[in-house]
Amino acid sequence: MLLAYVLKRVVLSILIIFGVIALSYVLIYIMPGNPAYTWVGKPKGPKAAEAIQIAVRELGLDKPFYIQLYEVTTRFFSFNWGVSLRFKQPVATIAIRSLVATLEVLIIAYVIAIPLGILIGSIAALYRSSLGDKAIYTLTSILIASPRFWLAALTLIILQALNVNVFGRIGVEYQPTITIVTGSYIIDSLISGRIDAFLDALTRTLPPALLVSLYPFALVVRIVRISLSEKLHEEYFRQALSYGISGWYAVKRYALRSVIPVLAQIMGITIAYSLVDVATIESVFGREGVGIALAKAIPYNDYPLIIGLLTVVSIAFIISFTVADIVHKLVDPRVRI
Amino acid sequence: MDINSESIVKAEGLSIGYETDEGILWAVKEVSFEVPKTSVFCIVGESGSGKTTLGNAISGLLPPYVLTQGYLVVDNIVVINNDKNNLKAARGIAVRIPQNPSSALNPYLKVRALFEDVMKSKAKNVSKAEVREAIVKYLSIMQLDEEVLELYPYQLSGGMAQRVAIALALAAKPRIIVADEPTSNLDAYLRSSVGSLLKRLIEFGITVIVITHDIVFASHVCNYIVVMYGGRVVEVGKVEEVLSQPLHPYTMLLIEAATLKKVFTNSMRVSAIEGVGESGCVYKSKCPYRVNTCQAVPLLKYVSKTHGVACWRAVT
Repeated sequence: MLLAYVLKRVVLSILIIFGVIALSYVLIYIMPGNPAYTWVGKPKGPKAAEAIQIAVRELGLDKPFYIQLYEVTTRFFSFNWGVSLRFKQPVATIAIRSLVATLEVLIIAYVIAIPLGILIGSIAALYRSSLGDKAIYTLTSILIASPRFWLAALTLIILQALNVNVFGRIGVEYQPTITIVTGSYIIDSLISGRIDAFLDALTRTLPPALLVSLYPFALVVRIVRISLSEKLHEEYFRQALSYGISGWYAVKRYALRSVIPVLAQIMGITIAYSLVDVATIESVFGREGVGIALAKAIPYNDYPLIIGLLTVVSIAFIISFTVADIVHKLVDPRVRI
Repeated sequence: MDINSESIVKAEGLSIGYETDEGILWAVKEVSFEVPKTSVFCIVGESGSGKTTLGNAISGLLPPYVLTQGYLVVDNIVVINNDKNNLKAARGIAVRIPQNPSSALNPYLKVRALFEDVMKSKAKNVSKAEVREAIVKYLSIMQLDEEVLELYPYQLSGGMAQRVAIALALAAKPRIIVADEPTSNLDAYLRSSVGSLLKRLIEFGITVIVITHDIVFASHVCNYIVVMYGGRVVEVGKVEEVLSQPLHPYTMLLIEAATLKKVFTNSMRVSAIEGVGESGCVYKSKCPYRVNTCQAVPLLKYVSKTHGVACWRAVT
């Protein structure tokens, strides 16, 4: 049954990606600027017009729009993602490198945010309207409301003042010594057996990851606090208490468990939101990432790269939604997917 | 206070209330009674009479913001001592059987996991084999197949869920089982089978407290009966005493309504409680025998060793 679900999802995902490609191409088409001009390196002089004409033909921009659209989409599904007009590098290379850099931050952020959020949220729910609960409530309000890019700049300045260099993804002195396997310096340094490089990469990733984690952390705390205190009045929780099941075990198995489906669904959406949120933080910390790459591609009408990045982001969205649904199914036996 | 070794639950001047905007609302008022060991003890009353609150107090399930007065002793543990309470201590000793078993079983766990949780909470280091053996035993007492263990609660029928809930209660090895309206969701056939099931629990040395509005059901199942009205105990006694010689007008009315036998010359129907907040006897606004003395609260007076009534008529 799970297989049928995954198949259904894959078919749906292909349709969604098709839509994303088509829509982005339409947007780029109506956007001002000429991709051919970028492709030939912004020429000037008497021969410029001729060079651009050649580029237009080379890129197929002289063909009717529907043919262009057809070519762009079929090219994508045949895994020929083309070359970035601005960077003159294969789009797949740039897109995947950016995604890995972003996921590095995002995954660490969520690994911190979700368990810690559940713990703090549960404490708030169990000691509702105590001083601790009020403190948690106030803190999360501030975290949700505060602009992350500003906090990022502040953190960077403070860390620089303390002589901790967190700019970029890894120190330049370590970069040539690592063999690139996954594209994540944290994992690759471990594969190369370089603990010093690993620690350097981790120190540079942790501050942005912590900043990205603030929003999901605060959200998880709020959701758990509200839902759990509701579940503590649930009939089956009180019955479990009556049977003599007590303490943290009863809370975990008979109340917190029913919060997880809601949490999984909301986290699926929040991860998608964080993919965008992380861009500003990455730019402050001088890291690569999907958001930064996109920001660089758009002003140059670099349509292969824009489409490549958007596709990669859509796939990440779809995966996170699917994982949320599967978690829901695994936790709640009544759910059919 | 002295604890009678023959009684397993003892309440003395017990009041249970909640704070509301209009002051404290007492759901249970100055209730005193004793539940004899290994008996089936019924608390009878209509909605709002405080019987469920009383049952929740015995099984330790009152909310933390509850207000209490008087004493409640459950299996030699002082659960309520005026405004101090130790409700947690009663849990697992006095186990509640839920009113609506379908919503009282965790929908996320299989029945087997529910059993394991209940048994592990009682004894930390029991082997898996012992647990399995005990589960089979409790299931057979409740005439359930072992197949239910692999089901989720939502896959059980109402009657099965009820029996699973009782089997789980047995697995907790309680001294007391509090059955809150055990028959409210059942049809006539299942009602009588639940009744005989509850009576059988005595064989395991368990005292059964049945909370019900159904005086006919109570008369079939119980040894002792407490009739509550408006948060107060109006009559208490052995079931045959109370049913053959009801002394309180409310008890008479309940019996009349159930058996369609005319007790009062000017028969009237049982209607919902109103005007409970007034001083004096809780029943005075409904009572056909109301006299001036009813302006004062009648105390529970015993006419025999076990039979007591809170009515000025019975005393004077």
